Amino acid sequence: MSRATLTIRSRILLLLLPFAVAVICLGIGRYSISVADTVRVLFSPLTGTAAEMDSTQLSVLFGVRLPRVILAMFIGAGLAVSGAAFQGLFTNPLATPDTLGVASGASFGAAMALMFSKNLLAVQISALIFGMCAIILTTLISRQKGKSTIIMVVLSGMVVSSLFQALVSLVKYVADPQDVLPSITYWLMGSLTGISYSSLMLGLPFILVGTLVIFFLRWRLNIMALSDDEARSLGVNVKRIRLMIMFAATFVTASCVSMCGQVGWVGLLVPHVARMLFGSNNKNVVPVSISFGAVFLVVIDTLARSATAAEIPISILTAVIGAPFFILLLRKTGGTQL
Amino acid sequence: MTFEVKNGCYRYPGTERQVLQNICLQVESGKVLSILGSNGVGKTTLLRCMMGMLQWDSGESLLNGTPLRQIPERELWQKIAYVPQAKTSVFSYTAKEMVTLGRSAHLKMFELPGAEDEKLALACMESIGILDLKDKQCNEMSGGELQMVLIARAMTSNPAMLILDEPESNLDFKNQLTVLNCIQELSRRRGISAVINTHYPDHALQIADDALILNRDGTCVYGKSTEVISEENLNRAFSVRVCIRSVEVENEAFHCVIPISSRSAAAH
Repeated sequence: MSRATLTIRSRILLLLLPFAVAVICLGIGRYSISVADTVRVLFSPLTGTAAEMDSTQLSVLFGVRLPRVILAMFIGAGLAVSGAAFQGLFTNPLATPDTLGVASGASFGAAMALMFSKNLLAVQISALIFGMCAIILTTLISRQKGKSTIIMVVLSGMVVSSLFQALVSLVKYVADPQDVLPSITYWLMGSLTGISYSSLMLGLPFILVGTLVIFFLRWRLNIMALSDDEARSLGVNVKRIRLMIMFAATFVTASCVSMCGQVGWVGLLVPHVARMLFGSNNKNVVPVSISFGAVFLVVIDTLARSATAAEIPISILTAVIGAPFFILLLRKTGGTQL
Repeated sequence: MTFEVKNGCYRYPGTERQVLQNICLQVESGKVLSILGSNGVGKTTLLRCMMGMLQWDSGESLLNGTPLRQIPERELWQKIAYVPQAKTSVFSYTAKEMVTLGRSAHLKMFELPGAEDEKLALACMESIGILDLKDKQCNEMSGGELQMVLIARAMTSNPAMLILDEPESNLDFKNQLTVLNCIQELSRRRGISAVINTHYPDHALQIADDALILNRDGTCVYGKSTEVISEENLNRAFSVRVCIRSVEVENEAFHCVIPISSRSAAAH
């Protein structure tokens, strides 16, 4: 199968695509705004013309939709890049934050923190700690004599994921059904509603830092596909790189989970599409995943908030769209290109 | 360049069997050393101990007289290059991408390979005659092609010594010859020394200056390949009665090692 190459033009396109899609999606919703108006209103604070703009449009765009679209971009990019990182790290096309149990671990951490406090920083830290516990557990269970096979990683991930899901159920069971339980349940289904600029400022730096670490280590990620001896003989400190990538990807996942619950499929689907289009070289897979992940989740979230009168939880939509798409991909490639 | 192993001994932790006992060897620039031994005798373990991937229980490896453990890893892997057995990975890279990975030791942690590194990778592929494979996916290659790609990858760090683990195993006749000729060319023309693990005594006789035969008890026989690869030594190491004959074809002598029976000569 011929793969496209990442030319300067396609790199610029990849960079601009999420912003272009975001501008279009900002105008879509119950209160529809044209692209031209969206652009005018968005740039009005910079051009000093905000006072001349329609106040409803200003409040809809800046007060409601912009923080949500920014969050969707970061969550999509973050989940996709951590999926790509985990797949490279474990040399396993099925490794994602969900299948490795990281997302469930982070969910448990976040749910537990939500039960005691609404402080987002506490939720973030708790999600990170339990996300790390989950990935360490999965790694330890799957490694035998210093090696781990694809099947062992997936099975270990399933076990760890089930364990943390059971613990999440326990948290729900003991949570106050009047007040805490509904918020935990709705958050678990994945929702980007009600996000404020202050919570964005608290969560996004974590996603940004983790994503940047993976971005700058993207070429080294290729070496993880080789045996340990081979990687070491290429002058690479395998342990250090593995730890850095694992920590960065868990950091990103935990931040995403603590901000909007468990959004599945992004980490599996987007890197595979990137690989199908541009080959397995992580030098390309990582930036393409960041761009496509951002686009994917902005589009999905726009659907979630505007397709029906009531908002649809985003994880339901990612699964409904992701599963058939992945089946198509599997059937088309016979699994060989995965 | 001189690579030496002095009195190397190794036993796997928690086991009784001494895998390697008092191994002594020396490899000079432009020389090829082959390591022979039956399956599971410890050939790969020897390579791993030699390169410092496993620590000798006693004894040491030296590069130009300096113990290996005193040489910083990045510096060491710019002088020595390891070529593993060709195995495909789940994620497939093109030959050019795979060969460029060989530049890792020359780049900083967050640095990406630049145009110079890619040019060098292509030059290495060209030097061993596989430039036409540059855009081919590694998991669509034949075993021989992939092995050549791995040799090219090792060459990108411009090493003084290549260590190859069974480079011609699982290859057909023609590919075996291609890989062996490539190793021979690199040592003769460019003065690169090579250490190869092999299952084939005739290959060792064909390209190696020196040979080391590992026995089951961890001891070894080491010396000039024409002296070490004898009927008696092979019989002892492999428990196979063999017959070594020299055949002259177009004024060139070829050695053939013919297995006669799987019972050792002592049993006869």
